[in-house]
Amino acid sequence: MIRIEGVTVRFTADGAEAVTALDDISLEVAEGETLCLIGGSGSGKTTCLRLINRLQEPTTGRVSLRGEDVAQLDPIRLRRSMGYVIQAGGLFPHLDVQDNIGLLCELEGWTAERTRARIDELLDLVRLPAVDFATRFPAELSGGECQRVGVARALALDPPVVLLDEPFGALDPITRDHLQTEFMAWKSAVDKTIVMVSHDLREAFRLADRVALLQDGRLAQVGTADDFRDRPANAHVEEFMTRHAHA
Amino acid sequence: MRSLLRLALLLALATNAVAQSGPFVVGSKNFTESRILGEILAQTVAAHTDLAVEHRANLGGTLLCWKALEAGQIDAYPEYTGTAWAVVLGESGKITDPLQTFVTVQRETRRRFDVEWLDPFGFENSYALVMDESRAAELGVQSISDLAEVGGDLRAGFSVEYLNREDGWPSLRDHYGLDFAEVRGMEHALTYEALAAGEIDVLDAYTTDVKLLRYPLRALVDDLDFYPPYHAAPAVRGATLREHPELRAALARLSFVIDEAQMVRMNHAVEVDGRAFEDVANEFLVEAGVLQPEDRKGARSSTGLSAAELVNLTLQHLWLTFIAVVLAALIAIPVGIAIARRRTAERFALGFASTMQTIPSLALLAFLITVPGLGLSTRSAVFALTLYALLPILRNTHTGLAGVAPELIDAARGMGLTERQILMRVQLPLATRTILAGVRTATVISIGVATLAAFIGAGGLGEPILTGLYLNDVSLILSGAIPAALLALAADRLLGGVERALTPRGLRD
Repeated sequence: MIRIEGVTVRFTADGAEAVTALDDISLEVAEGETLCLIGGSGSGKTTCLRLINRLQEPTTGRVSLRGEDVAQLDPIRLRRSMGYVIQAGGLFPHLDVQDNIGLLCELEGWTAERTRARIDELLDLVRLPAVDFATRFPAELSGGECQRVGVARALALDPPVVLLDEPFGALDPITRDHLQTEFMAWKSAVDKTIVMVSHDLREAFRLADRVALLQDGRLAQVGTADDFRDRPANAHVEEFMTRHAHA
Repeated sequence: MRSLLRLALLLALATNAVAQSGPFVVGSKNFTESRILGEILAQTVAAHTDLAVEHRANLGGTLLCWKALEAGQIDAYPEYTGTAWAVVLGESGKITDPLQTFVTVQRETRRRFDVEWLDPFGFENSYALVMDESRAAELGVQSISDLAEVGGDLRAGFSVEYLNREDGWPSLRDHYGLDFAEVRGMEHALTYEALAAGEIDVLDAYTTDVKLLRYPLRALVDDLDFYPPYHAAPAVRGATLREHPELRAALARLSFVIDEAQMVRMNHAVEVDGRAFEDVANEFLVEAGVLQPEDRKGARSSTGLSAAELVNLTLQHLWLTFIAVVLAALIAIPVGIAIARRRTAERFALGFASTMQTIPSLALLAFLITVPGLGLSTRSAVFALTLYALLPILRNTHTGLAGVAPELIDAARGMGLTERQILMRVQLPLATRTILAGVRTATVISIGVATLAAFIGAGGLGEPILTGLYLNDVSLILSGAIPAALLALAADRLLGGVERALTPRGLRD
């Protein structure tokens, strides 16, 4: 479904020397699979996620979606076929919950009734009663509620792919646990190809089918939780596992 | 964009209140004597030619008057030979003979500017340095040379024009070797009060100024012949005289009709007795036989403002400000958006707007009135006000857009909004409040700055303030200043309300 082939990303800040954020990464995500990109800060996991919806262009290499090079696709169409959720939800503070969720529907020219129905459906999915929440503004929501609305917004156009960048990163442990459980529920309900970024190993193993560990811009290992536990690729992976096992 | 341009054009046309050609326009400067002489010129031309006559009083200084004359915005105004010699011709050498001064000025302005000097009115109004009588006596100061010896401890307050002009303070200082403890530039009308209050010791004065009679003052003798002669005469555009030769005969009636005592009396009648300029001029002209007794006009009450005039000036003031702020917003908001993510353009545009704001308003006005299509009209005032209003709006548009959290823009882009949709749906709504605050600031500033419109006769509440200043009439000053301050407060409140109403609900605190 999604295929990253030999991608290197270098940043050149003006004057300074080029920084290699991703170094020759190759990765595949199957249809309906949930893949979690994991790694410490500066490992390149977010950059890797942003390759998929072209928020980041590769310096060399190629990213494809269902065999089509994403560089050849219209970025707007591409992005609307992929839900995008960022930390704390990234909700627009000047729009209420229903307008945040319905924004893309409106831009796609949906009728008001269809948008209305979709908003209700999504609020139902993320367990926020429309009666109470539809007309609230982000400033009137808790962190967990913001995150749920962020997920609902990402699903508005029913995209086949959903990208999540540290979706539960800013939440307290109890809310996080709660939302992770719900995530599992709606994941099975909606059947999406999901790529997410996390720095939390337990979250990754809990939510994802496979995990990709990045270290200093290189792909250290890709596999299931069992693969990581039983067959760590190298000493660095082993060390990361022990360090984060109880995080 | 085209509809914006059309709107701007409509607004510009709406301000085009003054017709281009037609009446004989007399100008005069923003002090009592000049305005009386302007009235005298205007009434004489009106009585002895068939021309329609208009008097544009309160023009802000020599430079502005001369530029207006050159550009044909006015046809004539009363000027002084020494002033023309020093300021217009830029001469700095020594000249003492009145006739030689007059002839030189007449020849040179005819050659260089096609401006004719008609026969002088007959009196001289020179500059003098003035001290408090008892203070001068105590220090034993009779002449400017004496002042040079004791000046080290004294403080001087000079009018701003005098501080800067060729025949003013810098040359006088060099000529006499003067050295004061402190020299400050002040509004001329306020220097007398400052002297009376002991804030300053020396000021510059006109020799026909009635304030010399009202305060116990001593005018110091120009013992080293620094000042050129300053005889007043009508300066008239050559082109106007060729088109209407009858003007020469009409204005010849004013040849040597006013002596110094008569001029001081007229200044006194306006400044001390509070009589209207028109009446004082009219009465003199009838007495001097220039006008027939039947040309005598009914007396006007005084220089004070009627309620209707005040309302009219307030409306003019509001109109000037409104047009200027609307134009500035129509320019600055789109430009602010266009430069939002372009470093070089951003620096250039903000630099331009900041520079505009540093240009002294009188210099800007003096330039604008020579621009074809602007002239001595509301348009020049609106143009200047617009330039001054650009910066707060541009800066706030820029700050507002730049202040939108980058993760929100990232979220919008990642969702698949186009750059235009990001701007319209996310950035602009989030920047609304800051942009409106900029418009509010610009409006409040403009209401203050619009008082300068009076300097080019474009009306507004600056008119009574300006006149009140040189008439030393506090109530007249306040009748302009209080409404202007109230307008600024009201605009601030009103736009504060608009700001709250237009701020998206989720952003209000």
